[in-house]
Amino acid sequence: MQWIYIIIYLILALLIIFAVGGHLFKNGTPFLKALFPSGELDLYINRLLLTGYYLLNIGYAVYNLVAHETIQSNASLIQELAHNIGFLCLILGAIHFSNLIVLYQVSKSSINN
Amino acid sequence: MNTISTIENPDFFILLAYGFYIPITLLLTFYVARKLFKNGLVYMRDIFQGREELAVSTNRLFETGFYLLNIGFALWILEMNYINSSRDLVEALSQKVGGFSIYLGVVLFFNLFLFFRGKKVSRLNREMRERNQALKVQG
Repeated sequence: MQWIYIIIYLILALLIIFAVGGHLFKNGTPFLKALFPSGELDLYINRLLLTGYYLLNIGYAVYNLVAHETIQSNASLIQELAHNIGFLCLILGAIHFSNLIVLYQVSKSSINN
Repeated sequence: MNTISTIENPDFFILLAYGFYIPITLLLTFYVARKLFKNGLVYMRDIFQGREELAVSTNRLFETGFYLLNIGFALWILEMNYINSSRDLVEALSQKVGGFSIYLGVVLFFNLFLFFRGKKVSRLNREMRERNQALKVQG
C-alpha cells in the first residue's frame, strides 16, 4: 500500500506541477511583456520564474513524500493522497497569486521612477 | 444490502462518499470558473483598454490561480470518517459539499471585488491622464 501511494502521489504531483508550469509560462509572456516593455528582460524573468517555480514545487512534493499515517485501506489511501495533493495545489495557487502581486508592484515602481 | 456490503468491505460507505464528493466539487469548480471568467474577460478588456492579448493572458492567469486554490481546498478537506449507514453518508456529504459551496461563493465574490476595483483604478488613471494632457495643451 505504501508503495502504491508513493507512486500515485509522485505521478500526480509531477503531472500537476509540469502542466501548471507550462501553462503559466505560456500565458505569463504577454503579461510580463506589458510590465517590462524594454529589451528581452521579460523573457529572462519568465525563465527565472519558471526555474524557481519548478525547484520550489518539486522540492516540496518530494519533501512531503512520506505519508503521515500508515496506509492500510483504500479509503486511507484516497484520504492521504487527496490531503497531500490538495495542499500542494493550495501552495501552488498562493505562490502564483503572490508572484502576480509582486510583479505588478515591481513594474509599477519602475514606471514611477 | 447495508449489512452485506459493510461486511465485505468496511470502507464501503466512505469510498461511496468520496465517489460522490470528488466529482461534485470538481464539476462545481469548473462550472463557477467558466461562468466567472467568461464574464470576467469583459472587465479585463475594460481595464486593459484595447490591449487584447494582455487582457486575455491576465484573465487566464487568474483562472489558473482560481482552479488551483479551489481544487486544492476541495481535496484538502476531503477526509470523512465514521460513516456506517446511508443516513451518515447523506449527512456527511451535505455538510462537506455545503461547506465547499460557501467557500466557493466567498472566493467568487472576492474575485468580483478585484474586478470592480481594477475597473475603478483604470478609470481614475484614464481621467488623470486626460487631465494632464489637457493641462499640457493649455500650458
